[in-house]
Amino acid sequence: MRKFVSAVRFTVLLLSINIFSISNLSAEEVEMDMDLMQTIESTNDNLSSNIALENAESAIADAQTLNELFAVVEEHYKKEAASGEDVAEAIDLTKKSVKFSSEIMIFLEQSDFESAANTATDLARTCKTCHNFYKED
Amino acid sequence: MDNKSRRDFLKNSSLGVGGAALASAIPGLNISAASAAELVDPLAPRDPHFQAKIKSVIWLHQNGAPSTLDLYDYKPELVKNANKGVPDSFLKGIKTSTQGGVNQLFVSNSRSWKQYGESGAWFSNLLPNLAQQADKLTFIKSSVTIGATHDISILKLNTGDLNPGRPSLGAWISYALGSANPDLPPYVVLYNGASEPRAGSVNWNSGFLPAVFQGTPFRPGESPIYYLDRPELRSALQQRTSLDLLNRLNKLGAENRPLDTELKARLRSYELADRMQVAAPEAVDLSKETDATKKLYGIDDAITGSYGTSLLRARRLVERGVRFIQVVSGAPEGETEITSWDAHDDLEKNHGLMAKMVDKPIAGLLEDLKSRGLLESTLVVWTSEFSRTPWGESGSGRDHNPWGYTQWMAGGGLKAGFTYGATDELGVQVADKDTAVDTYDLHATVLHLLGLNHLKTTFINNGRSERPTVVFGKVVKEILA
Repeated sequence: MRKFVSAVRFTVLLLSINIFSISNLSAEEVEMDMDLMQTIESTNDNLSSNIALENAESAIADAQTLNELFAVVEEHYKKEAASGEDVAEAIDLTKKSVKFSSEIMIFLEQSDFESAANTATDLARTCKTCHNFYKED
Repeated sequence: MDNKSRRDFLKNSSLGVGGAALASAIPGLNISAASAAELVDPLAPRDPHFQAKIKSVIWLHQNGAPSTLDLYDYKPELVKNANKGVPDSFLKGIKTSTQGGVNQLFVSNSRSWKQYGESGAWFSNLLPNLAQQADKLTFIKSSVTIGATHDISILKLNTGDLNPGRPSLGAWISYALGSANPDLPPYVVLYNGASEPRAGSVNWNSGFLPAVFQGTPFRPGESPIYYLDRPELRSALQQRTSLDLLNRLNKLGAENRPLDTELKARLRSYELADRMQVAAPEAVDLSKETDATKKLYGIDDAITGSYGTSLLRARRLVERGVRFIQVVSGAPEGETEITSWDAHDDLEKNHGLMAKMVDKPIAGLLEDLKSRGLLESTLVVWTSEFSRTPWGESGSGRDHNPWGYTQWMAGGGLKAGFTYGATDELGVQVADKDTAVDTYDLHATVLHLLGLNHLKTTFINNGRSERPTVVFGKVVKEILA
């Protein structure tokens, strides 16, 4: 049920950030743009709140969504690296973000809200670090 | 009526907080049980999450952003490379906006440096008195923030956000711990200078927390609180009768608006104001301090006097249980040209004055707290919205630097005489990004010392759980004793 909710949420989010067709969803087709970033930020805020409220189901759904969105970001930077851009640090940071969101889900499955909260903080800090280098004004 | 008889009168009067007690104490006042319960004092003291190391915080905001490269952060490479360009490697990953571009490295001809105390902390010649307190200080030399402009970064320093609407740190502390003294506000703002601190009351606001938790500014000068004294034309009985009627009408109004926190804050403020009539003048009255103490804080000097007065008042407020005292630096009395540390040009003149204004008073505060046995239960924080670049601006000034600078703390629960983190050889950025301490981390650490887990200090706002550190914040465990 949880995976279904997460999948539906991810689909809705992708629709809201302009994709071409429902039947051919793929990470490569999604634009890395302000909408995506704001969606990540908003979902991250929700995650932090749901962890504090000990709402495991919603928090896991948020973490799953973030996991998938960070995979989109990672793909974006891998493509940039392939075309010669110096984005090694961005790829590292995004991989970290994927890892953190996966860890959060595990902690939440175990009802370890304290560890989930600490890891969510690490995740937010990783976002901030990436912004310092790569966020366009 | 003298203070003692006024105090007795108030004690015997029916005004006071506590829903059920209030209902029974005021004849004819008909409050329902439900609203009576809701009127119970929101500032009643509350236990922290774990054992606190400190009881009070004195937050010394150095308004305008001092150059810590000219105060605490000695950089021999900067001195050696004065008047040369900044190598590109030092600018990697940052976006600068200095007027005229990144200029040559600037070093003042008047600057000298020495190490002090057993810790060997570096201080420049601008802080001769504070240097003597070296072993009390815990430096964080890897401070970072976001900031192109003062107002935005000051807001982030105090509330954690670049936009208004979030509570200040002092408001969160008031919310989490309540008041330790029912006769004084738990959160007070002090400042010196001709006008209120820049960016104003959003920096001591309660944001989405109930309004009762906001800071109470005490203005500089002889009478810090407006209209504290009863007008001579009114007798105490007349005032008492008026206040009792006002209270009765307010509580009838509150009964109809149980969710109105602004009204609750106003009720609370009237009740607090009533008690403050006695408590507040005494708290800020320096006439009872010895001449030696006043001299220690520099109150006898035109340049240090106004800031020293703020700090001595801060000490007295700590003694009376005020939890969070936000002291914002202004300018010496009568000074109109230099009003903050913001030295985009003529840094020597600016910092020469501003450092002199704060140096002796802060050193005096630390020494005074120590001698009275208060330093172990108090946290003093030197903080600023950002600092300044190693490259010059307008010839002899420095631009804003949010990428790496120094702050310090002193007091209970800390490793005294310790330095955490560092900037690079020129003082541009934090040397090791893993040691970067952002404003959220500073807040998390202050809360930790007060016995509060920042992750568990939460408030539901529009269905979302909010905390002081937004979604960030890590306690800087390395500086804890």
